Amino acid sequence: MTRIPIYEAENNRLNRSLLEHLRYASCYLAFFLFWTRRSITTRYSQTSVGLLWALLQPMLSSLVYIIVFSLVIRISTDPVPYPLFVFVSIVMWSYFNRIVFSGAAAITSNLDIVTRVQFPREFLILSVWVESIVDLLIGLSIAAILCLLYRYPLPATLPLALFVFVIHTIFSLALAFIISALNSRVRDFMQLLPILLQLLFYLSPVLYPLDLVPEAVQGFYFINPLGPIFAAYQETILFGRFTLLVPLLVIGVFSCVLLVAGYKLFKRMEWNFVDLL
Amino acid sequence: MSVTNVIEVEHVYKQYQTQGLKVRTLVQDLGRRLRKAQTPAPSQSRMVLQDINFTVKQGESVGIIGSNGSGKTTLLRLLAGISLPTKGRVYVQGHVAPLLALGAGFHYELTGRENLYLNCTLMGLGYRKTLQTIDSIVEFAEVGQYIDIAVKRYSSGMVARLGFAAAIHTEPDIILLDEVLAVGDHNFVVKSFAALRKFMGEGRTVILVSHGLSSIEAVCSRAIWIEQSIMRADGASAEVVKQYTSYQNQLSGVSQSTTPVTTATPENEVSKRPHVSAQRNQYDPDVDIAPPQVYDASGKETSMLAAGDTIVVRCRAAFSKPKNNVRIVIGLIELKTGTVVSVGDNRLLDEPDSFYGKQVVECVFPNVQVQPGAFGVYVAISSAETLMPMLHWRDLGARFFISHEAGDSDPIYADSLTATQVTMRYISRELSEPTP
Repeated sequence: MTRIPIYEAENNRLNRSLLEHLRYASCYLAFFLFWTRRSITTRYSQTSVGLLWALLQPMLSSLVYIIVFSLVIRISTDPVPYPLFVFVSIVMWSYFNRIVFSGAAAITSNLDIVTRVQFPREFLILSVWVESIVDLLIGLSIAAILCLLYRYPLPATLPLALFVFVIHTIFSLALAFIISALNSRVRDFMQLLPILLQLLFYLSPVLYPLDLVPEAVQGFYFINPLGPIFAAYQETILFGRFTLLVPLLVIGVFSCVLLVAGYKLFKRMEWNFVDLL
Repeated sequence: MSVTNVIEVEHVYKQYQTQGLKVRTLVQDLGRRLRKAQTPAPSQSRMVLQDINFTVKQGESVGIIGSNGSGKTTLLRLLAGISLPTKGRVYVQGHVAPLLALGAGFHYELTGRENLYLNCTLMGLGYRKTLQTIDSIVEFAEVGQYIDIAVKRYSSGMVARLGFAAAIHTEPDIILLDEVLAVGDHNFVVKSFAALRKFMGEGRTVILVSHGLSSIEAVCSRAIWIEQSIMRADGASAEVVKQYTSYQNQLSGVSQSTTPVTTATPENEVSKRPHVSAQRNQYDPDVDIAPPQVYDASGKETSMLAAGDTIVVRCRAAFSKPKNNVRIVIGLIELKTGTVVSVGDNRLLDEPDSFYGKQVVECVFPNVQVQPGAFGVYVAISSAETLMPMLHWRDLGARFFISHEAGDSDPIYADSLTATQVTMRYISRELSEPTP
């Protein structure tokens, strides 16, 4: 049995460094494994259509945008067929959306164990992340089928999407930790979150390529880390370009710092969940 | 070898924000800021623990007692690392298994087995070890086919069984129990106590919160009494329970003379045995007894016996004046029903039944077949001439437990056990005047 580090709390503070937090968490990897496996199986086995939901969700929401933006308001994404463009973007967005929203809610939805057992609570958030990867893989396989249907050849820049994905993931997890920490003090933050996420959704190049944004405003799109990230997804997966290396590197460094800060904040604030409930 | 402190609690305070109890919301916060930035919100807070200090050494068993709302559970939460001390220092070394409430750490939607996976891994067990442990837990908990059914369909007793079984099998260094044994049925309570003893025998540490003072006394050598967030006493469990019960009696306004006396204080004190709350009615001031002691067949003092074992009860009585024709009856009480299941009587002895000074009377109950459970001892001393009672002693808490473990020999059921089968003898008789 792995030895649990000594627990020493003093004056409302746990005496543990970042490294010790990680060492403590490493004692609970079996829990992480079990918890994640359970969340995934219950998610896909309890609903009547099961796995189908994971397929239907991005397809249905994409359908709405496809109807609106290719029939009513036309958005040109030449040479990529707009439905394919929207579908890939939506799949990537759902990945982000799920980590941030469900991740931030993971602690409050599992108070049963949070208030009764000591364990690394960050695993609740990380298991949401693994779940979203499963959803993402399902979504991407549908996207692959769409590519076949449209006979759209995938460009050689595709492997670079993995690099974007890593930065995207770090950024999403950082947000999940920070929002979860805030949520421990101010509970109605969760009411505000969907609206904020929706705002971010329209302000990021998800439904439209970055080129369509007027030059004068484009600068603002680089303030929002999701701007370059989504533009880079579209470039690498569909358009076959890779022009955003510098902004991505900046965002990558920023996200790493944010993740460490967010994790530390979370480890500091997680105690509020127990005392305020 | 010096024994290390596994728990250190130094000047610990715990404060809860009462306004926090209903969770701050953003709107309220903003509203408050806008209305008046100068006057801070009336921060009402409640001190749940104040200046708590104690250390627990490895292998110790400590009971925590106190009235409802006195902060016992909060203290356990601090020890379990679920909540932080507002002020002061909490140090805990090793794996802690907290059973802080019924179904601690159970997810009600999951099946029993899934919950066990969860429980074991939450205790920091590795994957392979978890698989090995689960079978022994299922066996101990005796929940049968329910193990593959969602825990929400369990009775509270089953949840408690499973929780306790899981906690004790995951090999924690420290186990924290909060009233969790109260809901189990008789057999399971007995089994749990036996498991706890084995657990303690392995040098592990037990912290038990309970209102069942007898279980505190049966399990813990030491007790801490917390009253209204302040630590009132820390010491031998018998002593602390005594202080606590007399405090409780004062609160309930019962006059001391008529209350069941919970103390056994023969001035000449005979025993240092952990003391169980008992009703002691003294009718004759010249007669006094010390708490009875229970031994097994080999003469070892014990509080855990199995059905079919021989039970030896020894009682020390002191007569400060000579008494003739004294009748002594020693019996076993089954605490669940309150019935006396078996008695021994000194009338069958050929020795003179006049007493003066210190006496030790022993009663041997051979091969006692009873339902497993908690038992107490009953002692009645009376005058055979006048039939007037001199002293009655009746244990209210468990002095010993009988577990289910039938022997091969033909059972003699306790209620049919006649006085001839129960043998009584005098271990020591002091017929001269006692030296002061």
